[in-house]
Amino acid sequence: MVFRECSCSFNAHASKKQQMSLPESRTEKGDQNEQTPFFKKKKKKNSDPAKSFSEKKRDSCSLESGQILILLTGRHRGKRVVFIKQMRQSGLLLITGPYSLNGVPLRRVHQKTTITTTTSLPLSTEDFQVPPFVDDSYFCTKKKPKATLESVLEDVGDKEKDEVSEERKSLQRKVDEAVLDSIKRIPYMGDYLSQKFSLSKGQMPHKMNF
Amino acid sequence: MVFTEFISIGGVVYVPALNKACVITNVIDLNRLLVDDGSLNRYTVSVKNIKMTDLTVKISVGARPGTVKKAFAAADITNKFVASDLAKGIARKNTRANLTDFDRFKLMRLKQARNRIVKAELGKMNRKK
Repeated sequence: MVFRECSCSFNAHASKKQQMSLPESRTEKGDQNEQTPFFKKKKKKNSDPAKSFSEKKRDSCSLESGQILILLTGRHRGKRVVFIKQMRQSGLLLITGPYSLNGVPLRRVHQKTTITTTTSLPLSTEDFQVPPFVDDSYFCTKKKPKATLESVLEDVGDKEKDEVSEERKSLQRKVDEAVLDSIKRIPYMGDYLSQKFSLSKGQMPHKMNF
Repeated sequence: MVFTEFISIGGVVYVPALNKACVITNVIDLNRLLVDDGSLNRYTVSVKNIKMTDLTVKISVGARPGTVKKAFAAADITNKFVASDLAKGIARKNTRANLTDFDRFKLMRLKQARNRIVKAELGKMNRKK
Protein backbone atom coordinates (compact mmCIF):
# COMPACT_ATOMS: atom_id res chain seq x y z
CA MET A 1 0.00 0.00 0.00
CA VAL A 2 1.42 3.33 -1.02
CA PHE A 3 1.32 5.75 1.87
CA ARG A 4 1.01 9.24 0.41
CA GLU A 5 2.28 12.22 2.34
CA CYS A 6 -0.63 14.58 2.46
CA SER A 7 -1.36 17.71 4.46
CA CYS A 8 -4.11 15.93 6.36
CA SER A 9 -3.39 16.48 10.05
CA PHE A 10 -4.50 13.01 11.04
CA ASN A 11 -2.02 11.33 8.78
CA ALA A 12 0.77 13.65 9.81
CA HIS A 13 0.03 12.94 13.45
CA ALA A 14 -0.07 9.22 12.95
CA SER A 15 3.11 9.17 10.97
CA LYS A 16 4.88 11.07 13.70
CA LYS A 17 3.71 8.62 16.34
CA GLN A 18 4.39 5.40 14.60
CA GLN A 19 5.72 4.05 11.41
CA MET A 20 2.83 2.92 9.26
CA SER A 21 4.20 -0.56 8.74
CA LEU A 22 2.42 -3.84 8.88
CA PRO A 23 2.72 -5.77 12.16
CA GLU A 24 5.67 -8.04 12.02
CA SER A 25 4.08 -11.32 12.91
CA ARG A 26 1.01 -10.86 10.79
CA THR A 27 1.66 -13.86 8.67
CA GLU A 28 2.32 -16.12 11.67
CA LYS A 29 -0.95 -17.12 13.23
CA GLY A 30 0.50 -18.42 16.48
CA ASP A 31 2.28 -15.32 17.83
CA GLN A 32 -0.63 -13.10 18.75
CA ASN A 33 1.11 -11.73 21.84
CA GLU A 34 4.11 -10.41 20.00
CA GLN A 35 2.05 -8.45 17.57
CA THR A 36 2.69 -4.73 17.81
CA PRO A 37 -0.54 -2.75 18.01
CA PHE A 38 -1.44 -0.85 14.90
CA PHE A 39 -2.51 2.16 16.96
CA LYS A 40 -1.33 2.90 20.46
CA LYS A 41 -3.91 2.29 23.14
CA LYS A 42 -4.86 5.42 25.03
CA LYS A 43 -4.34 5.33 28.79
CA LYS A 44 -7.49 5.90 30.83
CA LYS A 45 -7.51 9.28 32.51
CA ASN A 46 -8.91 8.60 35.98
CA SER A 47 -7.34 5.23 36.43
CA ASP A 48 -5.48 6.22 39.59
CA PRO A 49 -6.38 3.38 41.96
CA ALA A 50 -5.25 5.29 45.04
CA LYS A 51 -8.17 7.74 44.80
CA SER A 52 -11.46 6.37 46.01
CA PHE A 53 -14.69 6.97 44.16
CA SER A 54 -15.95 9.51 46.66
CA GLU A 55 -12.70 11.47 46.82
CA LYS A 56 -12.61 12.32 43.17
CA LYS A 57 -13.44 15.87 42.31
CA ARG A 58 -17.01 16.25 41.26
CA ASP A 59 -18.34 19.04 39.16
CA SER A 60 -20.82 20.99 41.26
CA CYS A 61 -24.02 21.98 39.54
CA SER A 62 -24.65 25.66 39.00
CA LEU A 63 -28.08 25.64 40.61
CA GLU A 64 -29.21 27.92 43.40
CA SER A 65 -30.94 26.56 46.46
CA GLY A 66 -34.66 27.01 46.08
CA GLN A 67 -34.59 26.88 42.31
CA ILE A 68 -37.61 25.32 40.65
CA LEU A 69 -36.98 22.27 38.48
CA ILE A 70 -39.31 20.34 36.21
CA LEU A 71 -38.93 16.58 36.43
CA LEU A 72 -38.96 14.79 33.13
CA THR A 73 -38.73 11.11 34.02
CA GLY A 74 -39.97 8.76 36.67
CA ARG A 75 -43.31 8.57 38.41
CA HIS A 76 -43.23 12.30 39.11
CA ARG A 77 -42.67 13.39 35.54
CA GLY A 78 -44.04 16.79 34.68
CA LYS A 79 -44.04 17.96 38.28
CA ARG A 80 -42.40 21.15 39.38
CA VAL A 81 -40.18 20.72 42.42
CA VAL A 82 -37.84 22.70 44.61
CA PHE A 83 -34.09 22.08 44.53
CA ILE A 84 -32.36 21.88 47.91
CA LYS A 85 -28.76 20.94 47.38
CA GLN A 86 -26.45 18.65 45.49
CA MET A 87 -25.46 15.39 47.19
CA ARG A 88 -21.75 15.32 47.82
CA GLN A 89 -21.02 11.72 47.06
CA SER A 90 -23.16 10.96 44.06
CA GLY A 91 -23.65 14.41 42.55
CA LEU A 92 -27.41 13.85 42.40
CA LEU A 93 -29.74 16.69 43.27
CA LEU A 94 -31.78 16.60 46.46
CA ILE A 95 -35.29 17.88 45.82
CA THR A 96 -38.60 18.17 47.59
CA GLY A 97 -42.11 18.75 46.19
CA PRO A 98 -43.04 20.06 48.79
CA TYR A 99 -44.91 16.87 49.57
CA SER A 100 -48.19 18.51 50.55
CA LEU A 101 -48.37 20.40 47.24
CA ASN A 102 -47.49 17.79 44.67
CA GLY A 103 -46.71 14.51 46.41
CA VAL A 104 -42.99 14.56 45.68
CA PRO A 105 -41.03 13.65 48.83
CA LEU A 106 -37.40 14.33 49.66
CA ARG A 107 -35.81 12.64 46.74
CA ARG A 108 -32.64 12.42 44.73
CA VAL A 109 -32.79 13.22 41.06
CA HIS A 110 -30.30 13.31 38.23
CA GLN A 111 -29.86 16.78 36.78
CA LYS A 112 -29.99 15.45 33.23
CA THR A 113 -33.56 14.29 33.78
CA THR A 114 -34.76 17.75 34.77
CA ILE A 115 -35.40 21.11 33.18
CA THR A 116 -34.00 23.96 35.20
CA THR A 117 -36.21 27.02 35.38
CA THR A 118 -34.92 30.48 36.19
CA THR A 119 -37.55 30.84 38.91
CA SER A 120 -36.33 30.26 42.43
CA LEU A 121 -37.51 30.68 46.00
CA PRO A 122 -35.52 33.07 48.18
CA LEU A 123 -34.02 30.33 50.36
CA SER A 124 -30.45 29.37 51.09
CA THR A 125 -29.23 25.85 51.82
CA GLU A 126 -29.39 26.46 55.58
CA ASP A 127 -33.01 27.63 55.41
CA PHE A 128 -34.11 24.16 54.36
CA GLN A 129 -32.90 22.70 57.69
CA VAL A 130 -31.87 19.40 56.18
CA PRO A 131 -30.11 17.37 58.87
CA PRO A 132 -26.56 16.22 58.05
CA PHE A 133 -27.46 12.52 58.19
CA VAL A 134 -29.49 12.97 54.99
CA ASP A 135 -26.86 11.91 52.48
CA ASP A 136 -26.57 9.33 49.72
CA SER A 137 -26.50 6.33 52.05
CA TYR A 138 -29.78 7.55 53.62
CA PHE A 139 -31.53 7.19 50.27
CA CYS A 140 -29.91 3.98 49.09
CA THR A 141 -32.24 1.00 48.96
CA LYS A 142 -31.59 -1.36 51.82
CA LYS A 143 -30.51 -4.78 50.67
CA LYS A 144 -32.98 -7.51 51.55
CA PRO A 145 -31.58 -10.65 53.18
CA LYS A 146 -31.05 -13.40 50.65
CA ALA A 147 -34.07 -15.70 50.46
CA THR A 148 -33.41 -19.24 51.56
CA LEU A 149 -35.82 -22.15 51.09
CA GLU A 150 -36.83 -22.05 54.78
CA SER A 151 -37.56 -18.32 54.79
CA VAL A 152 -39.65 -18.56 51.66
CA LEU A 153 -41.70 -21.45 53.10
CA GLU A 154 -42.16 -19.61 56.40
CA ASP A 155 -43.75 -16.36 55.34
CA VAL A 156 -46.15 -17.36 52.65
CA GLY A 157 -49.05 -15.48 54.17
CA ASP A 158 -47.96 -12.12 55.46
CA LYS A 159 -45.77 -9.97 53.34
CA GLU A 160 -44.23 -6.87 54.85
CA LYS A 161 -45.76 -3.79 53.32
CA ASP A 162 -43.38 -1.09 52.26
CA GLU A 163 -44.52 1.71 54.53
CA VAL A 164 -42.86 5.02 54.94
CA SER A 165 -41.36 5.28 58.42
CA GLU A 166 -42.56 7.92 60.85
CA GLU A 167 -39.03 9.26 60.91
CA ARG A 168 -39.16 9.97 57.17
CA LYS A 169 -42.55 11.63 57.48
CA SER A 170 -41.44 13.93 60.28
CA LEU A 171 -38.27 14.78 58.37
CA GLN A 172 -40.37 15.64 55.35
CA ARG A 173 -42.65 17.89 57.39
CA LYS A 174 -39.70 19.64 58.97
CA VAL A 175 -37.94 20.38 55.68
CA ASP A 176 -41.14 21.46 53.96
CA GLU A 177 -42.03 23.94 56.71
CA ALA A 178 -39.56 26.58 55.60
CA VAL A 179 -40.28 25.93 51.94
CA LEU A 180 -44.04 26.29 52.28
CA ASP A 181 -43.55 29.46 54.27
CA SER A 182 -41.66 31.14 51.44
CA ILE A 183 -44.04 29.75 48.82
CA LYS A 184 -47.01 31.43 50.51
CA ARG A 185 -45.37 34.82 50.14
CA ILE A 186 -45.09 34.56 46.35
CA PRO A 187 -48.43 34.90 44.54
CA TYR A 188 -49.36 31.93 42.34
CA MET A 189 -46.30 29.94 43.47
CA GLY A 190 -48.25 27.30 45.43
CA ASP A 191 -50.62 26.86 42.51
CA TYR A 192 -47.66 26.67 40.13
CA LEU A 193 -45.91 23.92 42.07
CA SER A 194 -49.05 21.83 42.42
CA GLN A 195 -49.68 21.80 38.66
CA LYS A 196 -47.87 19.64 36.19
CA PHE A 197 -45.92 20.99 33.26
CA SER A 198 -47.08 20.02 29.79
CA LEU A 199 -46.63 21.14 26.22
CA SER A 200 -49.56 22.41 24.25
CA LYS A 201 -49.96 22.84 20.52
CA GLY A 202 -47.42 25.14 18.96
CA GLN A 203 -45.08 25.09 21.95
CA MET A 204 -41.57 23.99 21.12
CA PRO A 205 -39.17 23.35 24.04
CA HIS A 206 -36.15 24.48 22.08
CA LYS A 207 -37.81 27.86 21.49
CA MET A 208 -39.10 28.33 25.00
CA ASN A 209 -37.50 30.06 27.93
CA PHE A 210 -37.69 28.27 31.22
CA MET B 1 -56.21 46.36 -4.85
CA VAL B 2 -55.06 49.96 -4.57
CA PHE B 3 -51.61 50.56 -3.12
CA THR B 4 -51.56 53.21 -0.44
CA GLU B 5 -47.94 53.19 0.72
CA PHE B 6 -45.09 53.91 -1.65
CA ILE B 7 -41.36 53.60 -1.44
CA SER B 8 -39.78 57.03 -1.56
CA ILE B 9 -36.44 58.56 -0.78
CA GLY B 10 -36.51 59.59 2.85
CA GLY B 11 -39.21 57.13 3.77
CA VAL B 12 -38.58 55.22 6.98
CA VAL B 13 -38.90 51.46 6.84
CA TYR B 14 -38.47 48.80 9.51
CA VAL B 15 -35.96 46.09 8.58
CA PRO B 16 -36.70 42.95 10.65
CA ALA B 17 -33.37 41.32 9.80
CA LEU B 18 -31.53 44.25 11.38
CA ASN B 19 -34.27 45.01 13.92
CA LYS B 20 -33.91 48.69 13.00
CA ALA B 21 -35.88 51.55 11.56
CA CYS B 22 -33.93 52.82 8.54
CA VAL B 23 -34.25 55.61 5.96
CA ILE B 24 -34.32 54.85 2.25
CA THR B 25 -31.46 56.79 0.69
CA ASN B 26 -31.53 55.21 -2.78
CA VAL B 27 -33.26 52.62 -4.90
CA ILE B 28 -30.86 50.12 -6.44
CA ASP B 29 -33.27 48.31 -8.73
CA LEU B 30 -36.77 46.91 -8.76
CA ASN B 31 -36.05 44.66 -5.79
CA ARG B 32 -33.41 46.33 -3.70
CA LEU B 33 -33.02 49.47 -1.65
CA LEU B 34 -30.12 51.23 -0.07
CA VAL B 35 -31.04 52.12 3.49
CA ASP B 36 -29.27 54.02 6.21
CA ASP B 37 -29.91 53.45 9.91
CA GLY B 38 -29.03 56.99 11.01
CA SER B 39 -25.86 55.82 12.75
CA LEU B 40 -23.52 55.95 9.78
CA ASN B 41 -24.35 52.40 8.68
CA ARG B 42 -25.72 51.53 5.26
CA TYR B 43 -27.37 48.34 4.16
CA THR B 44 -28.70 46.75 0.99
CA VAL B 45 -32.14 45.45 1.70
CA SER B 46 -34.68 43.57 -0.35
CA VAL B 47 -38.01 45.28 -0.85
CA LYS B 48 -39.70 42.06 0.20
CA ASN B 49 -38.07 42.03 3.62
CA ILE B 50 -39.16 45.42 4.93
CA LYS B 51 -42.16 46.81 6.74
CA MET B 52 -43.26 50.27 5.75
CA THR B 53 -44.03 53.05 8.15
CA ASP B 54 -45.55 56.50 7.62
CA LEU B 55 -42.54 58.33 9.05
CA THR B 56 -40.30 60.38 6.74
CA VAL B 57 -36.92 62.08 6.90
CA LYS B 58 -36.02 65.09 4.80
CA ILE B 59 -33.11 63.95 2.65
CA SER B 60 -32.29 63.99 -1.05
CA VAL B 61 -31.29 61.06 -3.26
CA GLY B 62 -28.03 59.40 -2.25
CA ALA B 63 -27.47 61.65 0.73
CA ARG B 64 -24.21 60.97 2.54
CA PRO B 65 -24.22 59.16 5.90
CA GLY B 66 -23.31 62.29 7.81
CA THR B 67 -26.20 64.23 6.29
CA VAL B 68 -28.59 61.38 6.92
CA LYS B 69 -27.48 61.18 10.54
CA LYS B 70 -28.32 64.85 11.12
CA ALA B 71 -31.67 64.66 9.38
CA PHE B 72 -32.52 61.42 11.21
CA ALA B 73 -31.85 63.05 14.56
CA ALA B 74 -33.73 66.19 13.58
CA ALA B 75 -36.81 64.15 12.69
CA ASP B 76 -36.46 62.25 16.01
CA ILE B 77 -37.13 58.95 14.26
CA THR B 78 -35.84 56.70 17.09
CA ASN B 79 -38.43 57.97 19.57
CA LYS B 80 -41.23 58.25 17.04
CA PHE B 81 -40.68 54.71 15.84
CA VAL B 82 -40.71 53.27 19.37
CA ALA B 83 -44.05 55.02 19.93
CA SER B 84 -45.54 53.56 16.75
CA ASP B 85 -47.92 50.60 16.74
CA LEU B 86 -45.50 48.49 14.71
CA ALA B 87 -42.74 48.84 17.29
CA LYS B 88 -45.15 48.15 20.14
CA GLY B 89 -46.31 44.99 18.42
CA ILE B 90 -42.74 43.82 17.97
CA ALA B 91 -41.95 44.52 21.62
CA ARG B 92 -45.05 42.60 22.73
CA LYS B 93 -44.03 39.63 20.57
CA ASN B 94 -40.57 39.65 22.12
CA THR B 95 -41.83 39.71 25.71
CA ARG B 96 -44.18 36.82 24.94
CA ALA B 97 -41.35 34.78 23.44
CA ASN B 98 -39.16 35.38 26.47
CA LEU B 99 -41.62 34.42 29.18
CA THR B 100 -40.36 31.98 31.77
CA ASP B 101 -42.32 28.89 32.77
CA PHE B 102 -43.66 30.65 35.88
CA ASP B 103 -44.64 33.70 33.81
CA ARG B 104 -46.52 31.51 31.37
CA PHE B 105 -48.37 29.91 34.27
CA LYS B 106 -49.34 33.29 35.75
CA LEU B 107 -50.49 34.45 32.32
CA MET B 108 -52.69 31.39 31.98
CA ARG B 109 -54.29 32.00 35.37
CA LEU B 110 -54.88 35.70 34.63
CA LYS B 111 -56.46 34.88 31.26
CA GLN B 112 -58.76 32.40 32.99
CA ALA B 113 -59.77 35.00 35.56
CA ARG B 114 -60.51 37.58 32.88
CA ASN B 115 -62.52 35.14 30.79
CA ARG B 116 -64.59 34.13 33.79
CA ILE B 117 -65.49 37.77 34.43
CA VAL B 118 -66.40 38.23 30.77
CA LYS B 119 -68.52 35.07 30.77
CA ALA B 120 -70.31 36.13 33.93
CA GLU B 121 -71.22 39.49 32.42
CA LEU B 122 -72.35 37.83 29.22
CA GLY B 123 -74.52 35.50 31.23
CA LYS B 124 -76.10 38.44 33.00
CA MET B 125 -76.83 40.13 29.69
CA ASN B 126 -78.43 36.98 28.29
CA ARG B 127 -80.55 36.50 31.38
CA LYS B 128 -81.89 40.04 31.15
CA LYS B 129 -83.20 39.25 27.70
